Amino acid sequence: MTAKTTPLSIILRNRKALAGLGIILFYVAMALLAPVVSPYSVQYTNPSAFLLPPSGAHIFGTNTLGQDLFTLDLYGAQVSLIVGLAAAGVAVAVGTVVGLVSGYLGGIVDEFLMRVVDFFIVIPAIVFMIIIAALLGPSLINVIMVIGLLSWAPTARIIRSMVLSIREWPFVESAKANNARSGYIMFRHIFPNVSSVLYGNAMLAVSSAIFTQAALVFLGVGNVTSISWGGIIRDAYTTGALSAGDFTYVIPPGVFIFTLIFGFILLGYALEEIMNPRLRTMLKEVRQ
Amino acid sequence: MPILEVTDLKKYFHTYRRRDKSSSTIKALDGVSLKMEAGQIHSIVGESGSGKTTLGRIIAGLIEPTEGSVILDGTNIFESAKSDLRSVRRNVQIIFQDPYSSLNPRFSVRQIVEEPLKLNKIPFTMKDIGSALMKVGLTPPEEFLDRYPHELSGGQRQRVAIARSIVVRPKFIVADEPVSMLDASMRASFLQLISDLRRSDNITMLMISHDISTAYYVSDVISVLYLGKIVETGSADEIIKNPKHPYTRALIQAVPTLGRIEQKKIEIRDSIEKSHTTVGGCRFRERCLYAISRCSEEDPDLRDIGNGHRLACHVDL
Amino acid sequence: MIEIRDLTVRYGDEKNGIIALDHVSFKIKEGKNFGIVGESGSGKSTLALAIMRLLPKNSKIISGQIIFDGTDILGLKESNMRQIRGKDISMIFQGAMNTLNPLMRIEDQVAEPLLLHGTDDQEEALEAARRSLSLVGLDDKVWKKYPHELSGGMKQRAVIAAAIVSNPKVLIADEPTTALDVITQVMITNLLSDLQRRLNMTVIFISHDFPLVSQFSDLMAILYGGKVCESGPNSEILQNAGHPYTKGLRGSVPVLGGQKTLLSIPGEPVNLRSPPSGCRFITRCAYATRACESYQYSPFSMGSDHTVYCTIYGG
Repeated sequence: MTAKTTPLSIILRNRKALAGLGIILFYVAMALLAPVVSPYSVQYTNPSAFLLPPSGAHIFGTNTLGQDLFTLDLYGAQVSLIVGLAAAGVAVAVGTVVGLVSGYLGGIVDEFLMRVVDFFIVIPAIVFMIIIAALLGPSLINVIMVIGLLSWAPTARIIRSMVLSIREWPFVESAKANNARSGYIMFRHIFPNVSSVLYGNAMLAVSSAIFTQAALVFLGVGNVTSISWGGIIRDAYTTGALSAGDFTYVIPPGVFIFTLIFGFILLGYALEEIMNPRLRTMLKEVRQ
Repeated sequence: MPILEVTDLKKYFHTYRRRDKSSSTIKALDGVSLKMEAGQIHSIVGESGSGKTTLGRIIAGLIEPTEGSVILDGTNIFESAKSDLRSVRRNVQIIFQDPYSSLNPRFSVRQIVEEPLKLNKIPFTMKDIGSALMKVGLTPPEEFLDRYPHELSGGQRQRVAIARSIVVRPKFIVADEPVSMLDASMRASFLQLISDLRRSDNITMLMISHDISTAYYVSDVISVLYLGKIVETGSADEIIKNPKHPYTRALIQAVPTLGRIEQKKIEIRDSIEKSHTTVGGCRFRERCLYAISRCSEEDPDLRDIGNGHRLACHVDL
Repeated sequence: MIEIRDLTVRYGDEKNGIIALDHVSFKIKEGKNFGIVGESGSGKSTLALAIMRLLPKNSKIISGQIIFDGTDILGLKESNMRQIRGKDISMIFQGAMNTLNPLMRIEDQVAEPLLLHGTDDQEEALEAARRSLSLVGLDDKVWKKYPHELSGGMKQRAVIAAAIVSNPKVLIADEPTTALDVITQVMITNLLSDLQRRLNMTVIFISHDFPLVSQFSDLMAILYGGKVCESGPNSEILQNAGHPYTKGLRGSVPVLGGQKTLLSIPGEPVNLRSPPSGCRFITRCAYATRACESYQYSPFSMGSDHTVYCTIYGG
């Protein structure tokens, strides 16, 4: 492969991908540098500086405890990114395994797993998540698990359909003819050939997880105790600041959530675009 | 003792349509028997729908027959315990038709050729891999070990497939249309490779082909399969020089030859339909130019007509 | 009748692209079947698509003209080309059986080209379609069926019916018999031969199968690596093949009942991303010399329209 065709260079040549990556890196920087860049420490409270509007001292104003909103907004990037990436990781991992097993083994296993998938696609996930998160109690791990374990269905479907076509290819038969066991075939032969669909799918899963976490916290479940953008918006609402017309409280975290999600969406679509023609040529070569 | 003995093999596929509760049976193989000696190359020639692929898959142990037995080197494949089946599997290797999808695009050549050895827990060294690659003409082997299938041509990929199949020193190889997807100019060298391997490694091969001319070039024995039954079988020379079944004759006449021909004549009725459900009698009679009344009543059996030549036909051509 | 002049087609951009056809020239005569022999990478399908002006978006015609009935069709506006495509020049694609719409009845699909080219009357188009279907040997039992109800050979006949329904002057058949069994192959080539005579068409038969093309064509061109090796009358080329590749192709044709020796052409097909500088065939040729490295493909006439492109004959 010449330098021009390495995966990274292909990604970098795609405008959507560049834009998406740019946005994501901006927020990664925000998350990493929050302790360094923020004007106040996280613990700083000043009850007398109650719900101040934006000023030179407090760029985004303060909350009911007198904490600097700009500082909180910077730190919020950490939770969004951690939960987004981790929850999406869980969802994609579970979805991939389910899709592989279901697609490859077929029969009763497939029927059963697909009914489970149908269930998860049909029920309003957010309702489920609210209930379970409320039951489990607030913590970062809990919220990651809840989102991850309830969002794997779309991935499973996508992987399964790829598996259904790959498993008919002669190289799979060849391995079977040499006494390969199912597990070996699924993970050594089939998975590497279906993994290309995962990249785009994973990025979209991240964007979905980020939004879901913010929504859950806003609704009062999930990791309400950590600093997160959803939490800031929630506070704006519950302390009456929003009804009082203090829009600068909610606009920054709202903008941050949406632009970060948008960044992952851009990257996700770009990756799908890039992978798709490769998938098509791979399948076309066979149909010769 | 013959290395392969197939007796009265039948494979029926049942389809059931829920809509109108109709069921039909497709008799892909309807009583096929054959014997092969070690070191022989035996070609099964037939069109699509003749059952040749099914026959290959059953002999390779990949699918089970409805009836009949396959005895490989003394072991009845479908009646052995799981553990015996594993050793049978190692002893029968398959080469597939499509060089593009028979190799895992994510495996390197080294990984592809190593795999059968690893899966069957056979100890090996890189020399074994290298010598397999050299045997199939991929020299120097070092140049190919780390390459991926998409970096190779169709002919090279097919060679890798052969290397993969000979590396475990199998007793028997089933080759399913190994050259039909290769360019004509590559086929000759490929067929030559198969001949050479047979001589050097005493490989026994069952080759499945739709092209009787490639069968002629490498085989000792040719069996012509039509709609699930062998209609003629014999030594390659005998079948080509003295074909007795109208279908065999049509197959031979259909082979493209050099030189302008306005209308090529072959001894077969130009019937457009091809039915799998000819009831009673010889299954070829609808396309046969020589059918007599007996052909609609009685399905002819394979009879010996001398010289190792066996024929299933009521008409003497 | 169709003259290909100096045609060069590239896929991809200048740095990473491949030259599928490289300054290719030959003449296709009216009423004479023309065969194009080429293996993978020869550029034969690109040539067919170029004549139909159906090359994909990532391709570029770098040079050349295709003269049809006096006009350079490469220079035509798309709206004018549409008058010709599917009407005067028709094509059967590779794997054509799969280009049938599974949701349309056969007779409707065969009628479609007429309706697309301005026939307003549905009944008229259907009548013509049915005539066309009868010509290819498909009778009324088949007309109202759907593609999945037909066998491979029947589907191929239906595709041919659709291609000839508008009475084209030229029919391009790109690998019309690959994926069909040998007996159906004979039926289809006989059919094409018969149609050619009856409708007075010029058929361009493209295939990698050298003997098959030689059975069918009056004139032939043999392509390798995007260039013409040899072109001329069928009989001339068979009796008096000039190019080593042609000789190799001829030698690799199995002769049943004859000697069991087949000539093979050593080596691998050309890597179009980095083709050799001179003759494309140099890595596989038994007669290659230093001169071949700088060969500029100047033609050598071996008599009566028979042209060879090889250093053996000077140039």
